[in-house]
Amino acid sequence: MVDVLTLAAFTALYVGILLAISFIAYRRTKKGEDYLLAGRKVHPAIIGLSYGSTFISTSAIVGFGGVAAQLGMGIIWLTVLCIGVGVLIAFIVYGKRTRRIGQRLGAVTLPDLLAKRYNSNFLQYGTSVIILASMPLYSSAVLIGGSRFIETTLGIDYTTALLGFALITALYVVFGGILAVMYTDAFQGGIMVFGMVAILIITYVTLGGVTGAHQELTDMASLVPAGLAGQGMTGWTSMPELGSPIWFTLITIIVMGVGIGVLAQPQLVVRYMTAKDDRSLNRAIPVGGLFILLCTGVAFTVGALTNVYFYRENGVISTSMVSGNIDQIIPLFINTAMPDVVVILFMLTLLAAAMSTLSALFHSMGSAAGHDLWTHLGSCRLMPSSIRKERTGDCSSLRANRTGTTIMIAVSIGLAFLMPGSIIARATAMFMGLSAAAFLPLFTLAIFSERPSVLAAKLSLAVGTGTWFLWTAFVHIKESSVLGISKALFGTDAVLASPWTVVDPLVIALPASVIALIIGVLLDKR
Amino acid sequence: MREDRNGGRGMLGIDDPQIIVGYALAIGLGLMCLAYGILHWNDGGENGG
Repeated sequence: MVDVLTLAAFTALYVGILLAISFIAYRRTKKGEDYLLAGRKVHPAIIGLSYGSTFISTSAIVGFGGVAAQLGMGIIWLTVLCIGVGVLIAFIVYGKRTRRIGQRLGAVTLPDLLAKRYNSNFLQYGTSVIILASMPLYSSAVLIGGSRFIETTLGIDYTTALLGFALITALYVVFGGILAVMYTDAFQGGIMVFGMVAILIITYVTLGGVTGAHQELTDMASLVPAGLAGQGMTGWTSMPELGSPIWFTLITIIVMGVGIGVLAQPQLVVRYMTAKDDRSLNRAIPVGGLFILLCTGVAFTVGALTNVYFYRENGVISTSMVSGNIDQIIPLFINTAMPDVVVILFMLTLLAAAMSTLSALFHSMGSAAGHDLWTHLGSCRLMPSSIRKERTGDCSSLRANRTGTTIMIAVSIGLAFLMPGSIIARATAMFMGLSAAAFLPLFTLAIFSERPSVLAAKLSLAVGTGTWFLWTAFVHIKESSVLGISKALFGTDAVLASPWTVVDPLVIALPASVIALIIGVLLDKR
Repeated sequence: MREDRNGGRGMLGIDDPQIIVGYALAIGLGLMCLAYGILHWNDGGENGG
């Protein structure tokens, strides 16, 4: 076990470097566009690392690494989709067009881009309200996850950990804006690279080489628990039987894990717009792709191989070591199998993964509140003249964005204290699902259509959001039973019977949103 | 495929082709990102973007 004082000293050093980077960013942030897009001239390597480290949160390493320990190496297909969809399609198909259109229109956020592309204030307000309503769920989930990790690793009281974690992140987001967020992301991404490489090498060395370790895991197929084997699991180095319950579970994790909504998440979309030109995005692609390959590939491979280690050392498989709580497998393996220096590096890796995602979310919410709502509402003729602002050339004020960010950080902290336990995965899935259903179809139309239909966009936004909410509140049992709206109105947790109660809202809401978009386009043509 | 799992020694200790293809694709796509960046290193500069 690593000495807590040593851990605390390294954490303090890490925080000190973050604050120093943030101070440099603060000095370079002079106006609203600097705060939101860093003057559209961020270095390609910073864009790639920032995108990757925002994409990969703690749950990708610890959560999905735990899934690999339980269900085996089949989850490597999630890495395939993360790189294929999350980097190649995202950057080449969506990113370049988004950057060009954003630059041409002078857009600085996703709602701003949509509003200017469709020439619709409704879309600016509508999308920013959805971001402000849903993103705190995700940011609070990341906040809770990070704080629980700090609590158990450094032995700090949970409330203190949560406030400290939020305040340090808040400090650099509020004052340094996107420049601080992306520079610190790059630093944190560097730590993650070192951490994951070290863990991979030491794991293979400990287990007797690549082929030896894999072969031993293959030979353990007979140790698959009867419950899992009965549902189609065949071993840790093989896919489950096609069409079996475990096969469907794995496919769902892979599809939902990559989150098709990754293409339309506001905090990721804005990174394309920080690039000076397409060349910068071309150069960011190798950095982002290799980063995601390394982080997810290592987590999933090592996750599966923990079974070999625990079987050798303790005579049981990984899930038996943690009484079924698979989120504990990777941390337990690191703590018992790795040298102290790697334990410290891994602790910083997880902290970096959580903090880089959290800072991006804080910044996106702040820009939605400060720029998309306040700056635009502030110049609206309906506002009382005493507080009405005149639009200027640089219509996004630094103060409005900083105030918006501060308010949304406070909301996230408050929500983190209110949310029930075991909410991290659900809250994350809710945000990803709503992002996809509400934004993806109209964002796609906005960047691929020569003359995008505003009617189609409004219909898609309303239908996608409405369907997602109705399915969440009245059908999908995991949320509807917690929300209690269905129970209050109809006396039952879900108004539809099984199997609908386990169908994710995204599966219904995204097609509905696409159909609404198509109907809108057809109506507009008539 | 399933017979191979028990009988053959597979590649790098893994004998299910679906897993091997998964790893090959993951690494291949990572290398494709690298190749794309190198091949288009100077494309899309300020005037071309």
